[in-house]
Amino acid sequence: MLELSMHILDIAQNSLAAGSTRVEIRIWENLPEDLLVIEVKDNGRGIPGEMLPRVMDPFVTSRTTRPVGLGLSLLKEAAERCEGCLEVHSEEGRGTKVVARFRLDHFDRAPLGDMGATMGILISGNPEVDFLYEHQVDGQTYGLETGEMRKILGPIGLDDPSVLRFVQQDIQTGLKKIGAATFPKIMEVLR
Amino acid sequence: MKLKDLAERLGWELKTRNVPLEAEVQTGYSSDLLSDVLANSIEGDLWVTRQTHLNIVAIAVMRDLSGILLANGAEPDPDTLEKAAEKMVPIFRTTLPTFEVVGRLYQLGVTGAR
Amino acid sequence: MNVEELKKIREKVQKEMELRSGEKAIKIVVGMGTCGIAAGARPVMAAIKDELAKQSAGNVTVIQSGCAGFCEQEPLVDVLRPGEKKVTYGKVTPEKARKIVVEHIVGGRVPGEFVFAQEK
Repeated sequence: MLELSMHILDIAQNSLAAGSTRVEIRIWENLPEDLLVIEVKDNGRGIPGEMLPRVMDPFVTSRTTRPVGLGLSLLKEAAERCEGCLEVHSEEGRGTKVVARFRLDHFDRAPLGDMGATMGILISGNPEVDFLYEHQVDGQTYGLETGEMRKILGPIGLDDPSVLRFVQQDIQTGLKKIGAATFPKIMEVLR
Repeated sequence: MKLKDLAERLGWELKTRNVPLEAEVQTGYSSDLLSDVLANSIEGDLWVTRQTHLNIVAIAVMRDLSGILLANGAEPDPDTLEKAAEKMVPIFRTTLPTFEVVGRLYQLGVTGAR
Repeated sequence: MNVEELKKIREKVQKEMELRSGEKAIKIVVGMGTCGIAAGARPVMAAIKDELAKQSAGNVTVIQSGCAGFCEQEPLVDVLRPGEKKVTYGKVTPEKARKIVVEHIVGGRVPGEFVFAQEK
């Protein structure tokens, strides 16, 4: 995938297919440590113990009720391409947590891309599910949470088109405010 | 051949404004892995890629490339075009897939020789 | 999150809601598996939702599905209108998606040139 936000959309689809009612997406950028961490945590049915070690194998099929696909192996490759790694933790009946680490300032680190579009599609396409999106850049945080949104929206469903537009806009503005998703050292070349 | 003549012959869309296209292009490099281009491109290479984000301009500047050709109809990000204009890096766009456009470039004498 | 902005949206939409019909009769399914996302499903879904809003088509649900096994045809979009057989559109782009909303969802006419498969 050309953007990390596409990978995140893909992994979140796995969470939804596993029957999750809550999906938490967190991104941390640590500039001094040159580290970018993405975490997708869900409360779905989890991955059975015997399958867990093979879950990042691109040849493990998803043609049963198990929604394990290419998404994880593509993300693993994307992380390892920039000296990072992918971990999958899971407990049957409780949920799954996918953690991808990347070197922030690596030339092959895919740009974050449009998180507004990803969260917009997730939230408006699955209005009964709870989503949390939290993005931290060296201590500055942006956050969005559907529980809070529902309280404010009252009778208006999260699948209303104006909600989609709000999510896209709010995330775009919010991330810009905290200086998210830059390549600080690489950008020095272009000064 | 000069960049501008290649662009005309092969029907590329010019994406940057007010950037000189007089460079003589004799070699090219094709890769979507920026670290690969950083390591293996040479000065004057025309770079064929599908990557569209700002970092491609950084690479072009660092390696003194003659220009960037975006294949498969890839559209450059707005900030990519802005920086490219500032740093005088020509960016073109073609709807042809990489393999096809590289083949046509080869026929016009632009090789991958290092 | 900009709470003030969201409150404004609630007020605005509540006013509009009185004019909309209740039943969500039409269903649109967008393939959102790995191959779908890689092929461009995200902007297709965004275009569909945006065009539905533009056309004030209030009786439509848009949902996502996983991989259907026809990866070369992604992005795939299914349209299910009451009384109609399911129509599957293939290789959908944001521009085609908008045409599908205007012609099929709103206009009731299937743009055959975009169709990949149709239930018999």
